[in-house]
Formats: sequence, structure tokens, C-alpha cells
Amino acid sequence: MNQDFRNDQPGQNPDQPQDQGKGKEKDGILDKIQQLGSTNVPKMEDTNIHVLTIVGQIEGHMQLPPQNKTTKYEHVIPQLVAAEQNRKIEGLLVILNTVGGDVEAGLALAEMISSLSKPTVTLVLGGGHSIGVPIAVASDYSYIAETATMTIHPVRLTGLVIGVPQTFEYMDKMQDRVISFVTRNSDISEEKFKDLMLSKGNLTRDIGTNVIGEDAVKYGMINEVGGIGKAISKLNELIGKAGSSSEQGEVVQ
Amino acid sequence: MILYTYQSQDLIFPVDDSVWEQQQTMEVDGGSLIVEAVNQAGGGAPQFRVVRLISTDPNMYLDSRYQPGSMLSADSISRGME
Repeated sequence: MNQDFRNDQPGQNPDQPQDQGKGKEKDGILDKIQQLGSTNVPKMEDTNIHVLTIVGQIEGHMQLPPQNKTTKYEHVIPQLVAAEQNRKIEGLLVILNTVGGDVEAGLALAEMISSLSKPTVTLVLGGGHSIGVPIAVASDYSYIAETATMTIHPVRLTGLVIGVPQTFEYMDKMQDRVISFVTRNSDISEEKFKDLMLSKGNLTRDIGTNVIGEDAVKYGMINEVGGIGKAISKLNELIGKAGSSSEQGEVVQ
Repeated sequence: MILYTYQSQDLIFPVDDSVWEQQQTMEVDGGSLIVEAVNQAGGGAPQFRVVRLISTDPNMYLDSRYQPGSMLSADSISRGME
């Protein structure tokens, strides 16, 4: 079959070369406008800050169909390991716009981010819902955009019916892990967080709370309302502090 | 037919295997790319369209080779496909 295709080629070729160069260039620009909405993107110097984006659904053990936008742990965890090990990387900015997803995978990412030795800053843009909440609070300092929201709700299973007390207990433990992580890594109290998680009348026919920008700061989950500018300058400040403290450490040794 | 359910769509209508085969992940220096194979009309060498770049290095996102929609030929990435 392949042989046949190749044999057909030369016959078709003579027409193409004349406008190939010009056509290609034009196509390239058209493609760029189609895909990115602009013809060129700015160039940048080498950076000491790396950016991790947590978008779409956080994928767990079940692989979601390709048409879903997902954050896969097999992609993200090696990146976090690389960020920890690479000397050139001095700080990590985590940008969230996620609907949540798998509890175990989400907590794994949150633990990875909180245990990084380098300064980390998170920025919630759009949404940091559900299991995005522990990831948002995992960093050294967190920001939320004024219009961004975070939905806090109890852990639940889709696709499985809770039939036995053991399953319920397992879910309850899972929920406790989420609560303890959030309360350990932010200023919100356990009581307040549980209160938001189990409150009625905020979400249509569901329990939980949708916390918007300023409120997340008020409850103590997030440190400050801000955007990319504030986040980067905070990260640079933390990098400066980390650098000066490590220098002092070397002198002592 | 209307289905009233809390279950996700792909649990009820399982995704066809061919959908999975279109996309693949390949390693590049500093990150990985999700690409999809594009059928060439003339039956030429297979090309891959970049769907998404996965990297923490913001500079990689400015590299025109890795921009979503840019085409890569099979031989230019065969090194990474191994």
C-alpha cells in the first residue's frame, strides 16, 4: 500500500513548487492567528521562576477521555521533582483554574507543592474548586483573583453508590485528610472550614459553599487578593529571603 | 432519549478506542508535548500537530515550534518518540 502512494507522488508534484514558498509562509501566519489569536508572541530572557498550571480536571487512576482538559499526575509530579532538583529554578508559581477531580491525586499534588524546599506562590484564576482548594493553600503564599471562586463541598463518589458503612467511613476519613491539609496550610479553622463545607442553601440542591475572591481571604484560606503582578513580586521577595538565609547558613557552617 | 443521571457521560457512553489513538504524548527537552497525528492528503510522511505543551518553563511556551497548532514532521521528533 505504501509503495503505491509513493509512486503516485511525482506525478502530482510539478504544480506545487511554484507557490510553495509563499504559500507556506502565508499558511504559517494564518495558522498562528487561528491557533493563538495573534501572529507573534514576545521573546523572553532565561527565567529563574517556573510556572505550573493546574487546569481542567485533576485526573486520578481513571484516564479521562482526550476531549477533557485534564491535569495528569504523571505529567505534573515529574515536573515538581525537576523543579526541586534543578538549581536554576529558584521559585515556583502555581496557577490554578480547575474544577477539581480525584481526591488522592489532588492531595498528592498539594503535598508535593507544600513540601518543595523552594519558595512557592499559588494564584487562583477563574476557579479553584473542590480538590483545587488544598492545592491552592499548599504554597508559601497564595493569591486569588477578585472574580475567582472556590467551591468547598464534601467528598463524594460519582459512579458508585455508598452501600456499606465501611465505604462511608472510608469517605469520611478521606474528607478528614482534606480538612486537615487545608487547616494545616492556611489560617482557616477546622470548624469554619467544615461549616462552609456542610452549609446548606448556598449551592443549588447541594451542600457546600462557593467562596468568591475577597471572601476566601476573609475566611483565612487565601492570603491576599491579587493577580499575576503581585504573585510574581511576592515570589521574587520570597526568593530574596530564601537566598539571604541560605547564605547565612553557609557562613555558620 | 433523555438520561437523567449524576454519572459522567463517559461512564454511560464509553469512549471509542480510536479517540485515544489520535493523541499521544512525546518527550522534548524541558517538558513534554501532546500531539495528534494528521493524515496527509497526498499520503506523504505523517505529520503531528501540537495540541498542548506541558512544561514548567515559561520560555518553552514562547518557542514557536511548541505552539499549539504548529506542525512537526515525524523525523524531526523521532528522537523523542523512542
